[in-house]
Amino acid sequence: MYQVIKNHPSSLKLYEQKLLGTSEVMKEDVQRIHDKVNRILNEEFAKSKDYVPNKRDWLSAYWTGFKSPEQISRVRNTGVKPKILKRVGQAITTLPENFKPHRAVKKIFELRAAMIESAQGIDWAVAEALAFATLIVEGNHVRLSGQDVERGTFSHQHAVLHDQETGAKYCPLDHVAMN
Amino acid sequence: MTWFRAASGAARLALRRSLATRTPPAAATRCGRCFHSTAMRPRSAAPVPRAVPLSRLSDSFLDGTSSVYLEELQRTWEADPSSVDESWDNFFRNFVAQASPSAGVSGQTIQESMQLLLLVRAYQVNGHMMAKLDPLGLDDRAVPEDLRLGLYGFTEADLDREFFLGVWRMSGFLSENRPVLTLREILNKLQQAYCGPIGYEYMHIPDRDKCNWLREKIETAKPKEYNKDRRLVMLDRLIWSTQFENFLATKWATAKRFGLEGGETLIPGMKEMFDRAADLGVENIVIGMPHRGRLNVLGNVVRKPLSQIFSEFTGGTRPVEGEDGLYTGTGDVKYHLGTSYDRPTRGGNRIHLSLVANPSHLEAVDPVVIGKTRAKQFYSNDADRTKNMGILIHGDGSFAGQGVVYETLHLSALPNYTTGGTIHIVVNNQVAFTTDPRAGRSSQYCTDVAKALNAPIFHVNGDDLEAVVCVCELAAEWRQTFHSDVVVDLICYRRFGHNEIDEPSFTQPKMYQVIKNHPSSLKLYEQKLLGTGEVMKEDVQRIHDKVNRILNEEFAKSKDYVPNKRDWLSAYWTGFKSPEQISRVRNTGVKPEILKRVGQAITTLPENFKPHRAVKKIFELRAAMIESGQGIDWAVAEALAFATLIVEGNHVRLSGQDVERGTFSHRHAVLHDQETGAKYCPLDHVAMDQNEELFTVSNSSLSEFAVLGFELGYSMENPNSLVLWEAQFGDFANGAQVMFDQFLSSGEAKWLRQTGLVVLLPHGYDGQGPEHSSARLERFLQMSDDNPFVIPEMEPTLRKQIQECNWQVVNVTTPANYFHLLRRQIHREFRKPLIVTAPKNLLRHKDCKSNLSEFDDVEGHLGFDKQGTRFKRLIKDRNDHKQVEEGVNRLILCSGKVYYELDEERKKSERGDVAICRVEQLCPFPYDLIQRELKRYPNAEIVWCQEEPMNMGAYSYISPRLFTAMKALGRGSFEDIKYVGRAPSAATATGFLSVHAQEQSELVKKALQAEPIKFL
Repeated sequence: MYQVIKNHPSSLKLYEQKLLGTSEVMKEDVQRIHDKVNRILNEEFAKSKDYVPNKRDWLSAYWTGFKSPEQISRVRNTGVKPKILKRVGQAITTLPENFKPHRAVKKIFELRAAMIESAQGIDWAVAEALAFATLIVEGNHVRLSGQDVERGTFSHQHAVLHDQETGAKYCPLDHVAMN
Repeated sequence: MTWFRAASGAARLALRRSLATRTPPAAATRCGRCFHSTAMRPRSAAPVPRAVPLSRLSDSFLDGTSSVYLEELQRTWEADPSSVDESWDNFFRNFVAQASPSAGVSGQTIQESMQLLLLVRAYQVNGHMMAKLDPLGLDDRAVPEDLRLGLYGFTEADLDREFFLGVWRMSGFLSENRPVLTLREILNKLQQAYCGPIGYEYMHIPDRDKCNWLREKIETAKPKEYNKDRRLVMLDRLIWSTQFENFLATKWATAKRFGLEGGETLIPGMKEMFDRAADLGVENIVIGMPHRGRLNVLGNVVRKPLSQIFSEFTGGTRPVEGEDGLYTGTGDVKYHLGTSYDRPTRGGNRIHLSLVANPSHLEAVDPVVIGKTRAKQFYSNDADRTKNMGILIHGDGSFAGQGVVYETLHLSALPNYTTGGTIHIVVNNQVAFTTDPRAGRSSQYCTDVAKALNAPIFHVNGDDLEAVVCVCELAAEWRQTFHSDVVVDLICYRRFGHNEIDEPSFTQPKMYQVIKNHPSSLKLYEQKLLGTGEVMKEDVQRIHDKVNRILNEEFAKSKDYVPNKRDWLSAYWTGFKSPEQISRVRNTGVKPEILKRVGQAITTLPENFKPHRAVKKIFELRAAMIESGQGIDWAVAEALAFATLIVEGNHVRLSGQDVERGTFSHRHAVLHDQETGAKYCPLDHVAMDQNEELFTVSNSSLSEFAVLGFELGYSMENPNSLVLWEAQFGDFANGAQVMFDQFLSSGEAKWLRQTGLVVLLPHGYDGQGPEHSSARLERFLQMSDDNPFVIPEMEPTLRKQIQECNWQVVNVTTPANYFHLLRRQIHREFRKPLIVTAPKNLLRHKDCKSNLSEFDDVEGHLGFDKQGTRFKRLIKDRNDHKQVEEGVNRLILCSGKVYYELDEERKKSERGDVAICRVEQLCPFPYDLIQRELKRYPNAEIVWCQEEPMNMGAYSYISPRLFTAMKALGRGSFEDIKYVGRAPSAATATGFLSVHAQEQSELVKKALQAEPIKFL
């Protein structure tokens, strides 16, 4: 392989020969480009001795305002107004009238609605759903991915419900904010 | 006419491919099989069509054709064949088969012949799209347009016209030997073959002979039928499969068992596959499979005692630990366990079945199975790979989703990894836990990944027992004929949830409405047999009663089941000790004359071989090392270890990315002639008449997971082999992390399976950045199961320390110690995995040399005190140090190459009051040697020095163990262990070379600083 490579012309040499062969390009044209590239490379090489890296050239526009490790980021509250919690909680525990969930799932959602109503006994799945929902009403995007996460490995999330007659799907968290 | 233009394009491609593969006349006349003689022919053989250059075909053959032109051309040709172009002469002759008496069936035109050809091909390519594959009938697949009759210009009116279909050098329906058929008959045959309960995918295979072989099997004149006796056997097996699950469901209603309900035909299918394989010469089958249906396979196929399976359902009976002190490990759930069995077959043969233990990590066992199969082929001299076969059973979601599947498939045809084909069975229950296929994969079938390997794929309706049996037999025949992979896609359903207490209707309501009322495959088959009148109701009931009686008998026995104490070791492992039995420490040195002779063999190249001049120089230097007995470097030490093991009759196999030369251009295990490109392997020539594969070194594919798994499986077959896997750089081992976590570190504890696999992980801080510096030593140490606060019995005659630990982790610093380390793996009565942080700059370090005298088995000679005749778990500082050296005020303990930098700095700063000891074996920890050194330097402060960051390397492993050793001698506590090394870090190493150099310099200087070292 390397015997062949040793004698093999570069793709540049081949293309130069092709263009020269078509007479579209003159030798002087090719040389001019070579000279220009060499000049710029040498200029940049000279500049590299004095190069000073930009301090913060790694943040994209979306990340404007975000702090790096040496900057202090003030600890903020993550609580949500009670009325928002209530309204959002009702939204995520309500199913459409004509939707027929599995009876066990229906019972789960009734229990969840009761948790929201009484404000007591909130379990893990509801807490997670409330976190997602409140972030969404604040305008954030929430994306959850993984094997069997729609129901949850331990049959707990129920983020996607399936109508037992039609097979239609319903996702309560798709209905927490206007539009 | 647009349809014709599209069809013409397909025909052009088909014809070009067909004609291009034709053999020239001279060759054809010597190949008797090329002719298809028939009694109907008036002549002894048909004339052979002449080859025509492709350029002529592409230029004029079909371009610009029209029906009128073609028909006119045909009339001209019929009148005078020589009046048309040679290419057209071949075309007409080939497709109308003028030589045959049946040629030119009334009214059949060239155009119609082409259309028929395209129709047949369409069914061969896409017939599976119309096959009745889903037992639940829920699949709503669009029927490809090219399966519709109208596309080809035929109408209902044509159904009863007769057509001839013969094509030269084609099997199946297009064979010249087939009689004339009506269009209706042709369609019926096509649909019968391709659109019934089996969907065949094979037209992606470019090999014409293979496709013809399959066509011969698929496109039969009559559908395959089984006689009554075969049917009764199949029924019996299906009853066993079904009753087994019913029995477990009744006795342990809430136990998790991952039942096979909905896929019970897998069991009779597998059995028929094994019978057929045995008929065709298979003697050993190695099986890997996941949890779904595993208990059924264990009980009914591999014949694990049913009473044992049942006893495991009652919490699993653990052998009494006090009795004989038997090692029982920590065990595993019942649907992960393996077993083996010698099974009688229908043909009167016996076949050995092994089901390999596996973790929950789906598909992780795949490469282990094929590695074990390959090893079986090596040890039984099965060069044709017809006696030992691997079978892998997969889930549908995991076959499509787990990357290791593709990695394993891509080992299937590599010279040093092939097993001559693996049969893959996908138990396709069409739902992955709670996930529909539409979300689980992008390809149409879960098996599409296998098309990349040109494996034929047989999709089969899991409810049709005879169809399942048919494809299982066909798969076995394919494997024994072509020695390549083949896939059976058994499309079934899961009657219950993912496990028996899981509710599947939450996520698949319509599917489970259908399943609820769907008859079992057994019910369907019983109805079929009763319907044929071949079987009576009483016959069926008799089988049911027999099965029930046996199941209940075994259930009764399970209450008193006592596990065999040592039923887990195969013949090759006879005499090997388990952790509670003492295995005496043996010498690993070799006689000087053997070292010399072997050394000469591995440093000599054939006379006419022309290596690269740099390689030539390397080998001259190596020969000089052997001659003088001095300056042996790492690569030569490794080669000597391999060579000496080989002359003792052991097998050595080294695999990994670029291991033949070595990542660091050091090993040169395979040389390449610079003129001819020929290869030479010195280690293939160390013993008389050496078996070509006794030493195997192989550059692997760029896979860590599958290749490491393969080598693990390989190493488990026979303990008298040194099997090694080397990572390109140590960090890349994490691509195989599942292998370390689920198999290597815990396999013996879970499944009582030993392995002596050696893992070489290049490691060392040279400023090469975060991914090329560290082997993540800390991960392996953290997985060690020795108790850091207990000093085990260390008396050599009573020591079982290594046996009681799950594996060994070493960081070696001299070639001689590496030599003894490798040989120690074999010269013991037990096997343990060995993790070696392998060298980089030590490969060429001027001080990292050993003398040949350190390799031998002679005691008392010069050099003996430097190495002895065994692996040194710890290398003390100087040979001239007395048992007590009160003048030393600092003892530095370290591991790996940092020793050489510390030693260099010590010389430079003239610190004669500092001792440096190298902990070569980190795990299990050499308490006895550490304490010996602590006693030697009673006044020294104790330092652990490493070049890794504090949260990496050996520090967190060493610290509590060193504390335990010190505490026993009254030498202080945790705060008395001083740390010298890099600060904690997220990445293993800095990306800046200058920062690296500064860090390395600072830590070395700090270790040798005059003032006492602070705790941290």
